[in-house]
Amino acid sequence: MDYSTTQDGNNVNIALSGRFTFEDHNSFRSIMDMVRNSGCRNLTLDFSNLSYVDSAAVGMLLLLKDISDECSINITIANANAQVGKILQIANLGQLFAIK
Amino acid sequence: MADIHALVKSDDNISSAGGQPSFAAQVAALCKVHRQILQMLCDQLPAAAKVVEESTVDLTDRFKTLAQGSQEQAEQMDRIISTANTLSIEGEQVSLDEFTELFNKTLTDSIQKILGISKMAMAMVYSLDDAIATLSDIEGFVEEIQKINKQTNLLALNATIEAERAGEAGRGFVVVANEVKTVSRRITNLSITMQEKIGLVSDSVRNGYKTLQEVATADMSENIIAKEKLDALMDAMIRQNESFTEIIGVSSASSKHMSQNINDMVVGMQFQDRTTQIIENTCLLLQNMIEDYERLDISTDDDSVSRDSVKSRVRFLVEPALGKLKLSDFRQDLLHRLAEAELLDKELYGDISGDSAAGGEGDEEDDDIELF
Repeated sequence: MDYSTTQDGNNVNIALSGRFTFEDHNSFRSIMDMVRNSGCRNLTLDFSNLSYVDSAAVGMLLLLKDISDECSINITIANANAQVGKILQIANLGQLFAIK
Repeated sequence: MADIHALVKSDDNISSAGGQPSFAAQVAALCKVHRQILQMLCDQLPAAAKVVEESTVDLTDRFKTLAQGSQEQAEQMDRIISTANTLSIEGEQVSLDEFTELFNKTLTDSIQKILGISKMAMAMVYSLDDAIATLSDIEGFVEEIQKINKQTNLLALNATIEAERAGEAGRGFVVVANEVKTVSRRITNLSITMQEKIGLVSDSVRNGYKTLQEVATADMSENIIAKEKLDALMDAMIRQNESFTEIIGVSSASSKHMSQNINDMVVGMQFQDRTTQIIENTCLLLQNMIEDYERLDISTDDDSVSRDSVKSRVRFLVEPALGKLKLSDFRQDLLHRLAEAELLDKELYGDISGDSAAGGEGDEEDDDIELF
């Protein structure tokens, strides 16, 4: 999984691409540290180019949610594809993340 | 059937004094025949009324039973409809919609538990990362210790050399220097052991990573497929139930409709009351006519009207009627009465009734009542 970040004042946008699995735990750690230190209010995860997530990936997203709760950050997940979208849906993740 | 007109003509020729029967004979014959016929009608009509009445009562009963059966059927179907939309689970009535919701929720809960485990596994991975980082630091410290140790060893070596140069004065110093070398060796051994131990911890951590990867990673695709299949199943179940309910609903309505129709029919069948009344009244009038004829009978019953001429006239009057009658027991009844009243000769029975082989129509055909 690769990612790129843009920040605009209180809003941070992170675009993820490729496949998001257990192997990406190091990259994701960097993302989590960056988010914690950004001081932002709103975080958008752009899944347009993300082709696949497994349960480890969702586990990591849930850890990110814990951090965002501590820092009062709103997380939005945008443009998830069919497979990813279905996983978000059957896990009822709409309760935790705004999903667009 | 014999040629009626020929018979009459020939009879007229045979009858007493000069061909044509007298007017008195004609009237007498007419009155007597009509009296017999009227009496017969008075007896037959009530019988007909009774048949109608009994049949009506019987049919009414049967139809009522039918209507009741139909109604009960409709009630059974209504019961099916009212329970069709619910399932009985552990003593409670649960609607299909509630059940679907419960089902989905249970499934979602299970999936969320799996993901919760993944989350905790990833948290452990990060803890292990921290442990590895700390281990690296410790490794660094151990290297530092070894460097320092090397220095210490060198210093001890130098000290020994200087002590040799100092001769007698440096002897105490040599001892100290040797002690320092010993200590240094011990530190070296300890460092090596520490490095080994650190290596073991690293291996454990690496294994930990593998285990955690297995725990954390589940391909959710199977879950997705399973959930979609179950959703489709629930959907199909509900749709089938709905169409089922609809069909039964139509059936139930039909049954009720039928029940109502039957009840209306039963009401319509009560015509038999009126029929009975009409027949009773008809019989009263016929009875009246019979009495009139009886009075007439007395006055015409004198010697000027010969029995034979009356009889032949009777034959002339009765034969067309007999020819028209379709019921053989009706025909027999009339012949019997006329014979009893001595208006017909019994020997003529066979001829007139048309039962002989010479006749065209057989008995069976006349006995048949037309069914439609």
